[in-house]
Amino acid sequence: MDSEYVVIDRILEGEAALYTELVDRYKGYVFTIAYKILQHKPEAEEAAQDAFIKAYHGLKGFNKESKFSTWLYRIAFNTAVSYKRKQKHQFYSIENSIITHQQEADGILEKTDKKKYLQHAISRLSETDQLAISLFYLEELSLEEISSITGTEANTLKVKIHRARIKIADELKKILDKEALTL
Amino acid sequence: MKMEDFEIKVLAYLDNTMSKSDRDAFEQLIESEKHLKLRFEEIRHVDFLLRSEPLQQPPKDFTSNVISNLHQRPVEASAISIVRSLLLLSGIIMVVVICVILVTNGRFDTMTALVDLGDLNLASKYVHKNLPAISIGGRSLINVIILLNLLLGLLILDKGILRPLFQKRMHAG
Repeated sequence: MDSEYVVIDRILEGEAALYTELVDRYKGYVFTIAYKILQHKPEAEEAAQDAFIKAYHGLKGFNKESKFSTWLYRIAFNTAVSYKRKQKHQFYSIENSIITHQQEADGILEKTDKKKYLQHAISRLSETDQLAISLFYLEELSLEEISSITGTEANTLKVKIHRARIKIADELKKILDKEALTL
Repeated sequence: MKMEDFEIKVLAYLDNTMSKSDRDAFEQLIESEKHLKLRFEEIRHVDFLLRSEPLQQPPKDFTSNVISNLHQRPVEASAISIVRSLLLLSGIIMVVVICVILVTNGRFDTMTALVDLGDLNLASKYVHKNLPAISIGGRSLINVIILLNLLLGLLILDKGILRPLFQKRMHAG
């Protein structure tokens, strides 16, 4: 983490090219956060880029009291949420409805693909629960970090994640039972 | 034991937040109760699937795109959207047009409001002279309202419409 602060200090002193290092290190996480919120890859890419640019311009304001990653993810989260508010009516609902109908048309899901069963079970959760569970399973993120990224109180978040995990297990069981009946 | 309480224990076990003795007790419990073991396996399976979810990766040119756009200022989200600003502006223009038509037709010429400053308690407390009564013509009042509306309209045109539009075009270019 110290080396990360050194990189940040050097960027602030004018070595902008070093920002590549930070982008490479965190692009996967930032893009995943944006994608989990927007559910649309091109839009998530744009939001993730925007988040990195915002973070670069706001680097002076990063006080090093929190981890750089948490600070960056909060920017990514807020950027993606504002993109979603702006773009919601343009394509998001259309794309989701296509996926949902396609999945239903395919006899819910392919029989052997557990990942697809899981995605189907997750899609039954509310949007906020989906996001909470996604962030929880993102590597290295503690409840406190998720809390500071999303602005949701840690205890509320804990309950949400707990319920979401149980609900996914229940949904998955339902789907598998249904599939077993159709076999 | 209630199923809800058991599920809380399962999650604590999977998250590794249980003490050694609690873990041992929990393992004994699931070995002794078949239906609890079944539920444990269901939740553990979901947990395994969620943990093995891969991180999404952006396209390969992502980093170079960020670096090449680094010196562009990020587009600040405007408080009100361009469409809303346009609606607000058209409302203001309508009000101004109606007011101008009414003023030119002389609708407010006969209206006057008399504000007697002497009636205010302020006069007796702080000012010892008699304060005059001021007559305000309806026409002048409406003219002031029209002027304020025009200023508000110009402000919305600048902040809510033109600036976001130019910023968008700049970023598109």
